[in-house]
Parts: sequence; structure tokens; C-alpha cells
Amino acid sequence: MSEQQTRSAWDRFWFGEVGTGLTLRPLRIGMAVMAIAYFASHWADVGRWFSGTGVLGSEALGQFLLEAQLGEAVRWRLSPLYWIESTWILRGYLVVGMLLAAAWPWVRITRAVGVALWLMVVGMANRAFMISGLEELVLVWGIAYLAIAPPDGSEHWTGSLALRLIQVHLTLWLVVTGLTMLSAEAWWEGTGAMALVAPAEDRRFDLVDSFSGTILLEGTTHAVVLVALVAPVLLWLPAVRALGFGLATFWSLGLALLTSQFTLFVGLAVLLWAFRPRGGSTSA
Amino acid sequence: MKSVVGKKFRADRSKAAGPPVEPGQSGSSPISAPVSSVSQTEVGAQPPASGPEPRSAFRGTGPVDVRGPVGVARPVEVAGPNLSVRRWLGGAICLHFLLIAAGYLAVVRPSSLQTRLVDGFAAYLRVMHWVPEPGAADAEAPAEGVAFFLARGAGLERSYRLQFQGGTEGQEMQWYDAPYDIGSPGSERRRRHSRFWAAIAELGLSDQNALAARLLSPIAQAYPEVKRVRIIRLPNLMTNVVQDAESPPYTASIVRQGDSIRFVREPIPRLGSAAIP
Repeated sequence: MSEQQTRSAWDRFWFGEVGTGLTLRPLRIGMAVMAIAYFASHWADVGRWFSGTGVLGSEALGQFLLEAQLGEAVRWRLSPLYWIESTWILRGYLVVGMLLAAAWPWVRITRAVGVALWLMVVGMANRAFMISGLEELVLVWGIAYLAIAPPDGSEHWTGSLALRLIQVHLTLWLVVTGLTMLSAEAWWEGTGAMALVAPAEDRRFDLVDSFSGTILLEGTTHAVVLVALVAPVLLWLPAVRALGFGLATFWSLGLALLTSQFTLFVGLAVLLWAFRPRGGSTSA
Repeated sequence: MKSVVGKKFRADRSKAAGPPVEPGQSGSSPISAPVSSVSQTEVGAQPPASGPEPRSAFRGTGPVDVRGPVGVARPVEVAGPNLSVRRWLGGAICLHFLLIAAGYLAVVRPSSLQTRLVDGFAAYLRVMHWVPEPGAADAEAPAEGVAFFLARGAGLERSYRLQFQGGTEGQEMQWYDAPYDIGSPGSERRRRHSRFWAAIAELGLSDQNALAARLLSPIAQAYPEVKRVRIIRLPNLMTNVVQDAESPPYTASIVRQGDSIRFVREPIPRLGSAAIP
């Protein structure tokens, strides 16, 4: 195979996908809803955490990092919110973020709204040092990739690039999650699902009693591991893509229910829409 | 316009997977033609036509329908970037996912190579929040690195609470949960509080009392009636008797002198042999 043909296949993969406008629109709407929920979740506590007298106020946090010699850990966690001490201005930031998220799917003339929303989420995530989690990660990369695509849904190579970036990143996420689960004994001995629901005080639904049966508990545990490892393969095989899509979506929504990590796992389910089988299309 | 046309290539890979076209050979079929056009563009390195690139990548006139009557995708040509941009983007994509994979995989016990890679590109990975911060993934920050959620769910996730003593009339010696709303069970708000308390508990367990006190100072200032403070871990179905019998990871008395506040750490009592079944 000639070098040019190899390069051509690479180019077709990243820049040659079709129908991305239709595929990415539901993702954009879904991620916008997740972004609104994320900013709203900060509303009640933003002053308690980040204001001048807050627990993680700039001065208090600075002193802590200085004494802990952790300056290097936050050196690149840049955010304009470190300079804001007023609770009302912090809430203004959240309002702007929510307005941008609400406008994002509907403003179809510029990418600026998506880019601005991404920067707002990054700024919030970087400011939430010590209290941020994985939900911020999914929001950040999901919005970042979607902001690359044409806002009007037209066919353009940037739409293809955005779709492929989401697909590859999702695959990487599932693979890493599956592989690292294998490093914990709970996922081998069948109690992993119980570990997810056991901290019942911090779960929306108390499902501890639901797993009283051994078969259900161990079956769920093994299914969680199996899907994380198998779905990334199924999603890239056109013949079984529908099965992979269904399994991965069920996996995400199931884990959202078990762990109450709704922003994280519903966000993943939204992004899985990038793999939605399109009737007859053979592109992977 | 010719150069723009030369940048087209087939999007439908099933159609494009036809017989290979030798370099320099002119593709005679509508399938191979775009491939050879790509080659010409790359070899010729023609700059793109002046003026803005058309927004729509569909060529031709009339309505565009990417699906055939039976739902089969028609071959649709999508314009791509020119060669130099493709090369630059290809390299950037590879590097991007290499770094993210290194950041994600450094979860159990990162190698020195992984650590160097992630630290070397910290500006990129952290400014844009591509990788989690240490301890973000589950409530207990492991010393050896970032634990992905679900990665090590071996009963590690514990529920933490901040408790006060003092200030409640008639119940001076009673411990009670910090009297502010931390959100409903399962909410992001409660999870953030739990992560913060877990960080203080970790500091307490590693005897970094001054740092734990530094984090608790704003709370102690907000509640001047409080005399003692502690972080507790709630038992759950995955914890055993020994874990449930463990003392709170951080307990301190608060000494107030004017505006200044000092925390006096109360030592964790060691478990006696009687506590071990």
C-alpha cells in the first residue's frame, strides 16, 4: 500500500465523515443541559467555597498551598475566579455560564458561544481545586470538541474532526476504566457493584438491599467490567455497532443510577450519541 | 477553485475501498478520482484558493441528501484542510491523545516515564483541565496517584462528615453534624463537601496537622461557638468491624484568643488488642 493511500485513509477517518451535523446536534443540546446543571450545582455554595471569606478563598487557599508546598500542583490551574471575592460576582459568573449554555445549541452563526462556554467551564473546574471530580473532565472535553464543529450543522471537515475526537476520547475513557477496574480485587470477586452502592448516605437511591441476591450482585459486577472492556471494540465494528452502542449507553445510565454520579455518567451517555448507528452507513 | 476541488476526497469509506490507485495513475472511476486528486494537491502543494472556504462541504447543486432511498449513504465529498494543516493536525491529535492516555493510565502506580510525560506537559493538561487532579476521583486520595472512579472501588469510597462540639445549649459534650446545608444525598454539592473533608482526613492521618487546621480555619471563624471539631468516616456494608471501630481520622480542640484561632490536635487512640476479634 502506498504512502499516499495510507495517508488518505487517515485523512478520511479524521476529516471525511458525513452527516456530522445531524449527529452532533443532540450532543450539543445534551452537553448544554449538563453544563447548566453543573453551573447550577455551584449556586448555593459558591460563596462558601470561593468568596473572600470562603473555605477555599484565594487568600486561604494560597496560604495552604504555600505551607503544603503544593504550588506546582496548581501552577497551571488557571482561572479568573481566583481574583473574585464577591459572592454576587461569583454568582454572576454562574449566570453567564448558564446563559451561554442555553444559547449554545441555538446560536448557529458563530463558534464563539461554544468556545466561551468551554472557557467558563474550564475556569470553574480549575477554580474548584480539591473539590472537583471527574464530571468536570467529561464536560470540558465534550464541550471542547463540540465547539470545533460548525455551529450551523453544515457539512465541514471540522464537524468530522469533532465527531472523531469525541469517539476516540470516549473509547479511551472506556478502555482505561475497564483496565483499571481489573486492578481492584472487588471487580474480580464479584463485590464491585456493592462497593458502588454501599455509601448509601451519599447516594440518591439506597440500592443496598437490591443486591442481597448473590447472582444479581456478582452478575452486575461482572457485567460492569465486561461492558467497559468489550464495548470499545463493538463500537468500532459496523456490524455490531448497534449492540455496542446499546450496551455502553445502558452501562452509563446504570452506573449513574448506582453511583448517583449523574453529571458524569449521563454526560458520557450523551457523548455516546456520537456512536449512534446510522442506518446503512458503513463508516465506522 | 481548482485547488479546492483537488482537496476533496471520498467520505464513504466503503466506496473508497476500491482497487488501489498507483501514484501518478489517473483514476478513471468516480471512486478513485478524488484519491488521485488528493495526491495531486499534496504533490503540487497548491495554496488554497483565495477567499473564504465555503462553509458547506457538499458540492454540486440542488438539495443534498446523504442517505439513499433505502438509507444507504451515498458517496459525499467533504472538503478537508490543505496538506500542511492536515499534517499539523495529525501530529497534534496524536500528541493530544498520547498525553491524555498517559494522564489517565497513571492511576494505579505511574511509572517515572508517565510522570515525566504528564509533568512535562502540565501546562497543556492542567490549563485545559484534560486530566483530573490528584484525589479527584474518589473520596480517599491515594498516595500513589489519581484513582479513576470505578478503578479501585474496593470499598474505598467512604462517606465523610464534619462534626462540631460545643455551642449547643444543654448538649455541650454532644457531637453534631456541621449545621449547614451540604446538599441532598447523591448531589454534586454533597460530593464536593465529602472530597474536601476527605482531604482534611488524609492530612490528619498523615499528621500534617497544621495543614488540616489551615483548611478548617475559615469554618471555625464562621462558627465562633464551636469548641471541638472532627472529621468522621461513616461505616457502610463494605467496611469491616476493625474499620468501623477506627477513631475519627481528625479531631481537634479549638483555642480562641481574640481574633486568632489555634487548633490543638487530639491524638488518635491506638486500637487495643481487645478491639481485634
